[in-house]
Amino acid sequence: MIEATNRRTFLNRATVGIGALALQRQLMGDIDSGIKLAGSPKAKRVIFLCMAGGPSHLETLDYKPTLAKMHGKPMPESITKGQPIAQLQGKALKCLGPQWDFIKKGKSGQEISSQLPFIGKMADDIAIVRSMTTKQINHDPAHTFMNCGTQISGRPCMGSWIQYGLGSETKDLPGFVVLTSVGGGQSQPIASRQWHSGFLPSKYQGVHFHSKGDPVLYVGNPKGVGRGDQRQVIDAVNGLNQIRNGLVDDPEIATKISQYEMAFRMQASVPELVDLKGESKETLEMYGAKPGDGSFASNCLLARRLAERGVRFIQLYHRGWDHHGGVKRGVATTGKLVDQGSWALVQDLKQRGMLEDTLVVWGGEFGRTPMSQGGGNNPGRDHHIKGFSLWMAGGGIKGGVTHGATDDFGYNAVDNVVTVHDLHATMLHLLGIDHQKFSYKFQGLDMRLTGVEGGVKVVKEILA
Amino acid sequence: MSVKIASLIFLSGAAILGAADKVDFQRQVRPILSDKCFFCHGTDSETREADLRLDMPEGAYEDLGGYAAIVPGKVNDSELYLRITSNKKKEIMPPPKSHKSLTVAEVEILKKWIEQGAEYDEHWAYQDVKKVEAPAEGEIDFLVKRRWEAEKVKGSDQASRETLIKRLSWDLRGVPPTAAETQEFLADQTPQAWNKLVDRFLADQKYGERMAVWWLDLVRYADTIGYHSDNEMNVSPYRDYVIDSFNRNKPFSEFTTEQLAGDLLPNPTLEQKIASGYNRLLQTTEEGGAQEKEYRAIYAADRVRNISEVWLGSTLGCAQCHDHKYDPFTTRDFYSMAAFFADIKERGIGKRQPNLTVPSAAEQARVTELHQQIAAGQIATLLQKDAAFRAKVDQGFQKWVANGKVAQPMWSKVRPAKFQTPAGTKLVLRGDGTVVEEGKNPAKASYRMTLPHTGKVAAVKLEALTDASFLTKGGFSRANGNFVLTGVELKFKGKALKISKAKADFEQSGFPVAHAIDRNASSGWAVGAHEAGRRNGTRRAAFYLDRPVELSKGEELELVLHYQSQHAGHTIGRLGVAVTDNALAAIDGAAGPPPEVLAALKSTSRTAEQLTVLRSYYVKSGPEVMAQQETLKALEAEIKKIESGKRKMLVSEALPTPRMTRVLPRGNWMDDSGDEVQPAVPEFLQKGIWKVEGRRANRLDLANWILDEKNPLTARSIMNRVWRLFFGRGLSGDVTDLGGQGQVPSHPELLDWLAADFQEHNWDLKRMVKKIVTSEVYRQSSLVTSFMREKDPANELITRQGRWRVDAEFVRDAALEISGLLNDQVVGGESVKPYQPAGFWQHLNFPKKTWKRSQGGDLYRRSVYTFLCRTFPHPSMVAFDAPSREECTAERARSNIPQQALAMLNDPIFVEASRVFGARIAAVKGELRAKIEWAMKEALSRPATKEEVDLLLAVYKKQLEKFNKDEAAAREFLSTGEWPAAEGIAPAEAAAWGQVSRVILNAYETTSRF
Repeated sequence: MIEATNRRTFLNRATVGIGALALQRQLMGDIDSGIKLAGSPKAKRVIFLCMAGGPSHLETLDYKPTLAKMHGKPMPESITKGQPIAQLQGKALKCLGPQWDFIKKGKSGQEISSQLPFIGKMADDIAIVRSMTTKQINHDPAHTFMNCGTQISGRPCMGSWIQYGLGSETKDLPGFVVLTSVGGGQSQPIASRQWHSGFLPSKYQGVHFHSKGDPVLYVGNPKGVGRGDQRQVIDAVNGLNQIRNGLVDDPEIATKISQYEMAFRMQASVPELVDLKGESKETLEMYGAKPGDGSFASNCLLARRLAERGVRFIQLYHRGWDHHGGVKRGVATTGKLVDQGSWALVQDLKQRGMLEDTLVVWGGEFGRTPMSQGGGNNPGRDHHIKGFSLWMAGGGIKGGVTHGATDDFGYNAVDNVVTVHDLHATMLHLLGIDHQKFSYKFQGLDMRLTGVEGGVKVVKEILA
Repeated sequence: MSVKIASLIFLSGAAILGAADKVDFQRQVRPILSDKCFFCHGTDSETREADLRLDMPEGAYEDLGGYAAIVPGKVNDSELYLRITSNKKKEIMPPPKSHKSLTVAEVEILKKWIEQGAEYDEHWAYQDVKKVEAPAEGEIDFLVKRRWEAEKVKGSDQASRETLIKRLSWDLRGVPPTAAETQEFLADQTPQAWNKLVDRFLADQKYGERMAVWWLDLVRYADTIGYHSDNEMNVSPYRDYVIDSFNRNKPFSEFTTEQLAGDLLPNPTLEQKIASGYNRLLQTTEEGGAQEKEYRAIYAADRVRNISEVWLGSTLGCAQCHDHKYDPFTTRDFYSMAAFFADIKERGIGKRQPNLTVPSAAEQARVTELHQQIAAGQIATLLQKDAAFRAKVDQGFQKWVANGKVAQPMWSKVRPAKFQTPAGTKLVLRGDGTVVEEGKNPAKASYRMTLPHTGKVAAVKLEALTDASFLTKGGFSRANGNFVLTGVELKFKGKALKISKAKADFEQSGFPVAHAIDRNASSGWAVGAHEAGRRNGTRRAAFYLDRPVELSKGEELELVLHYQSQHAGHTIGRLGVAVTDNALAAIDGAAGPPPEVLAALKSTSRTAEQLTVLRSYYVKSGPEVMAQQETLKALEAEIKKIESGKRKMLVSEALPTPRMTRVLPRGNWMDDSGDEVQPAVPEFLQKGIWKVEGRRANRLDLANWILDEKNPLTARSIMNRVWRLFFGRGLSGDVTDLGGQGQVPSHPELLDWLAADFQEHNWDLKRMVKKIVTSEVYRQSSLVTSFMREKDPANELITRQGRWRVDAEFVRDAALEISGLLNDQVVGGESVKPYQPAGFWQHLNFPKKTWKRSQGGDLYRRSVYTFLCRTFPHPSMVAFDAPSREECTAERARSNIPQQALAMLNDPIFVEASRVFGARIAAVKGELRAKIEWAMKEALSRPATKEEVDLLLAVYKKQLEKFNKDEAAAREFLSTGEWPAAEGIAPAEAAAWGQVSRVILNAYETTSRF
């Protein structure tokens, strides 16, 4: 390989200042070991399937027969009084029964919406949590809260925290990758702060892969410049840096050299990663993915490829769950766009023996109201934070269990309530990290993903 | 944290365990108590355990029933010591589950401290600033070297002069020096050379731009609102104010007051109003379904966090839900601070409209001039003061009176005919000449009719009238009363007549009459009559022909009216039409003079009274007067045009009655049970310098308190950060927090000296900067010996200079400057949009947005002017750690990541800079080596070594060979970016030099400050 030869010649030029061995390790290894917190991890990596917009738990994972009986009747004021409300502020609050049937699936008999048939097929692989709560009722702060454990901007997201705690396992790709897709409902904006490293070092920030243009920004060579030319430029840059380092002995320069090598590797590994040509027809069919279509299904397949290559935290956003109107058709449409890919990802990981150390999480930033929004033939549901659902699979999660419950209306989580901080604590636990010990000093405080206030618990009941 | 502890041990020295040495409470004891004990035994009364507080001696020494936590001098009687040394699980402190156990060294320090009397002292940052004596003009060196002597270390040698000019240029201007500047400085061997250079760079406008990057990080300046849709907000004049203030060296005190309370100053100037935009920089939302009350609470907290971090170096923001755990800030202090901003007029949710227009100097001058012309051009004024005008009017009057002719009414009614309408709708001519719509009220329609007339026609007037038959009483349409006239066409003999202008006596906002002749079928003229208050009367619009037409008897004009807007049924329900031969006819021009004028004019024996009647009529309607009125209208229109084209921005405006602020228990915005609070500064910092009594305090009072010479935090916090700009590290290592959890300064006397001197000299920032950069310690080499790297890794003793990769903005600015692309002619202006990858904004919505790239020179402006979108800041900037400006950033990360390599290698701006620089290299006369030597000198301000030249020469030769074989590739490479390719250079040669330039621009040294 050209690359190897060039690197060797380059190494021969290495001058004083930094031990050749250390330099070589930096060049070849380039693995950030993080702060090595892992105790006995069940999971090595996380794939977070973020159902952005807030899926209705009442049409996906939380069946409420009582609500069906109450359909069209006023919501009891005892439940809604004094509660935060988004777009239904000042409107009459009427019950909207579940818009789709639920089916008991698998040996476990978990109740799953008829609109998620593929996910239903793997009921025994997943743990459903029906008692999630969050604190933020609008999309943007709710995503921030779900990712960072606080709605205040400028704090690290969970992907960055996890990278910081466990380091990277890949030398060719970033350790934290974000993929996005749209469809099935209005596309609420998503801010890049959702994958920002906040006060943690920038190297822990997520790298956003794009389905159009360069998959990673600036990963393509300039016009008229071939890979060999680029290699020559990088060799020369590193050569100048070596000469310089010989004079000033600055560790930053050695790091710079290794980063140029990493960048060069990414220029090859990223296109290789996103090229699905090598995937079999069966695999593509299993996901329902067409290469290059930018769909959620394709992103699921890419997620598996990223996981295989040692990426630590992979986050997929599908922006299409904000069903203020037409929740019935909306859940069906958006559900169809994500159902098969989610299932295929879990099954594919399983058949490759990777599910056991890959934690998959599927859920949105909040749920939706049991009350209808907009009357007529096409009612929807508003944002809802007091009770919603998600599911998890793999990486130390017990399959076939349903944990927690909301009240008869699907309004308040009442049984085994799981907060966002609890979810984070559980994820960290599976990764071998004690969330209480996992802190970073910022503004004089020991900042934690799970907050500084305490009372956070690992959800033991869903652990295998 | 490990670094912090390591250096603490170093600073305190191994000798601390020697019995004779006195333990330093500030440096050694308080940090331990704060970090390990105060979480449960500190200032927060709500979470205080065992009712014990250790942050003050009264608490620590208190009799707890026969024993006390600390008995000064008696270690074995002190419960604290017994607990921290206990080996029983239930007794040991801090409790194991807090993960805050004490090290052996820490226990030893506490032991010694108790033995020595357990003396407390107020936290250093809250004590008065004390200025120590130091030899004039050498204070900084004196105070730094004193520490060297005590620690028995030596400083570094002075850096080379090439390094020094480069360092100074980065630090003061954010760009490297040009080769010419370097040459000039190296040639100046006089003792004043350095001071002269410092003065020159301080006077460079780039100084303000460089300092602005620092300040804008602190105040979280951005061009978008931050939350959800992240729409644009107009605040860029604030950025220009900051740049200008640094450049003019505005005293930091004024700079502070104007930002916090510029609008409250007596007769605020435009500049002071612009400065008050500071209070509007926070993140806001336009998300549907956002709850106003919640966001009011979010905004209040945002402002408290920012003001306390920026000016006080404090984390008062942490007291939002509970009393601060490490500093004596209470929750009440937090909300009392928030109350200062409860007077800011703004919407809780939804779009915030700019409330200040900001003219450029030229616009300002022209508007003033126009106002003067208008004032001087009033008819009454002219009649009084302008003899020539008076004579002209007199002449006209005499002629008119002598003639005795009754002027034609300005407008003649016409009776439209030959109507064409959509099926189901009819237009009917009534006896009074008006046309009424009958039958179906069409959703959209175009009506044709003819206007029979004889004589000259200069304009056609439409009158919308109401009718008793309309459902909406007093309305002008049969729908909701309003109409939208989307188009008017006039034809004569089958040919369209050009309508040059239109005027209306009333226009609904967003629906000016100009929209009726703009050839856009969806926009039109409307009168707001869907609102009851805007009905009744008549609405008129006149359409003026570019060239009047002459109609002979029997001829007619054709009139087409279009109603094609999305608003259904918005057609004029009853229409009158008139024409005039007088292009100056006012729209509401009456149909001729009133009867008394007519009588006077016809009279053969006019009385003096009648003459007065005639005269007063003439001075309102005579052609000379009408012409002058037209002139005035044109002037007013120009003012309006300038006003609407000006930059607009959000600034502070005070409500007469501020919103009520109450303490939100646990920060919960839905909890109304907390006390109402008035604006006040934190109680423990009032210290006799907070004097407002008997009235509600305001932002001006807050500014005065911040700037009070006895306020211990402001000057310390600012000087600590300024120091960091020039050494890479604050004198207190934590530039965000001077409080209990921050770091004790490495040189407390130096920090205090700087703070005091800053205050004493009228908050003169350039003076302080000059003091710093003319010191010897500033000019030390940044090389580090392995001995010092080991002994003092963080360089707390300042025995060397710092070295770092420059800030994101300066990475790009340097590439632009070195290549010659930098457009530094203009300072300030609207934010610009240089190249950004297509689709980068795809995840923004409401509405969807695309990055509309700037044109021409705006592509090459300094990065401080790049449009800053908070949710998606420019990716190249983010790669180099530019913050998103969502919160205060006092210290940027300085990372070293592969994205930086990708950006510098492949972002078109860096490729373009390379090829432009390459073309300059190609144009240098001389052999190849000389060209490379020239290029290195341009970029690095130093001669290249032979090894470097060899290396770059090899790149050139190989790339030349490649591009010679593949000229298409060369042309492609040279087409990167919009800057025209250089002429007269062979493409292969230019491209090969471009590649050499890429190597030079990417070299670490090019963007590192050392």
